[in-house]
This record gives sequence, C-alpha cells and structure tokens, in this order.
Amino acid sequence: MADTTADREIVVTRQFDAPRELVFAAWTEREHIEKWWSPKGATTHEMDVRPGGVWRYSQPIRGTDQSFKVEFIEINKPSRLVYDYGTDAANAPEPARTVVTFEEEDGKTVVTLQLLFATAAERKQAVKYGAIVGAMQALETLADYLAKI
Amino acid sequence: MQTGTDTLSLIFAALADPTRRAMLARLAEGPATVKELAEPFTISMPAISKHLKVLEHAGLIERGREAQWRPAQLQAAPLKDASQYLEQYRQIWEGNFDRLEEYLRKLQVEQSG
Repeated sequence: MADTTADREIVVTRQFDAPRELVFAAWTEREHIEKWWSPKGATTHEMDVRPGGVWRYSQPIRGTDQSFKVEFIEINKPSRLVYDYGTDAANAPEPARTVVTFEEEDGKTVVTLQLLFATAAERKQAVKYGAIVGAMQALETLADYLAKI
Repeated sequence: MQTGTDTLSLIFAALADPTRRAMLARLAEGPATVKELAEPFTISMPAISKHLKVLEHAGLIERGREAQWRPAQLQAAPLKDASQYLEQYRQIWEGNFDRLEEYLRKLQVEQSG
C-alpha cells in the first residue's frame, strides 16, 4: 500500500528572529499564545502542557464564540511539540495531528508546522468544519468591503 | 460542480450576512433543526427560515425532507474542494505566523528596553 501523506497534510515553515526558548514559550505558555493564536485573541479555559494534557480555548468568529481543544501528545522542550487539534462538539471531525519543530539557526528559530489529517475520509469530514472557519475568516474582509460599496 | 458567476454571486450574497455565517458555523458542527438554529438569536422563526432559504438557494446547505422541522445540513462543496481547503489552512497558518512574528518582536523590544 502506498502510504503517502502528501494529499492529507500541509507544511508551513517560517524563520523567526528570536531565540528558540522564547519561540517555544510563545507556543506553550498561556499569556503568550493567547496574544497571537487567533486574529481576535483566544480565551483559555484550561491549559495543561504535558502529554495527555489539554488546552481548551475559545475564539470569537464573527460574533459567535467557537470552542477548540488542543490535546498535547509530546512535549520536547524546546525542539518539538506534537498535539491533536479539534473540538469537543458533537459530530466534530476527527482531530488533526500537528507536529511543530523548532530549529535554532544563528540565534534565529526555524519553525516547521505539519498538519496531518488521519485518513482521507476524516479529512473530508474536516473539510466541512475547516472550510467554514477558513471561509468565514477570509470572507470577513470581503463582507466589510461589500458593506462599504 | 458548476460554479458560474451567478452561483458565486449567490454564495457571496448568502455569506455577506453575519446571522447566516453564524448559522453556517453552527451547521459545521453537524445537522440542526430550525429550532436549534434559532436558539442563539433573538430574531423570529420566520426570519430564521428566510435565512435558511437563502443558504439553501446558494447551495450551502441541504435540508431533509422528513418531518416539518427538516434538519439542515452544511454543504461544503460550493465553498471549495479539499485541496482548496488545505490551501486555506496554509493561509490561516501564514496569518498565525505573521502575528507570532510581530508578537515576538514586541516581546524582545520590551525585554531589552
């Protein structure tokens, strides 16, 4: 069986002009992550950064508070973080596995994020959820624009 | 899938309303009846039904035939196919990284100052 993940993953990389410990802290400490995680901020309900622990938070999406859950699988400070990203909602899609690596290069940090959906079927489910969240964020600009013309 | 200009106009018009977007967000969690969809809002049931009709007309939702409450279900296809969806997730993460970059910059300025 050909097991390629290319059709069910995305990989995003960015170099940050900051030491690795600080970048890792920005991902794993409540007061930091709430500041950048979502466009309009996130509200933490629970955060327990250890394998099996969860970060529950909500973020406003066009007036509605949406709840999300990050379940930590692996924490290897300050180089690697593995978590499942999803929600507790009924009929929610299977969570997406996320692997984040932090590499140090001359005092800068290269972060690579891999978001992997378990199976094609689960991804199809995730499409329903993610599509709407993504579309709403993207369309907010359009809606604001349309309101002005 | 046919997405002519008219279909796109219908979709954009349907999505331009915050109540309808909130309804879609609720439907993204699973099918819901009109009553369930109306719960978070202070508007009347007929108004909710009207919004549902707009969403249905744009192909964004599908409604069950059984019973008078006809549960509504989200149709993701008109919005995008799976690869477009992945592309959107990439864009979301590019945005997240932009904010993280800005935040780290601010943080380091504060620490050194």
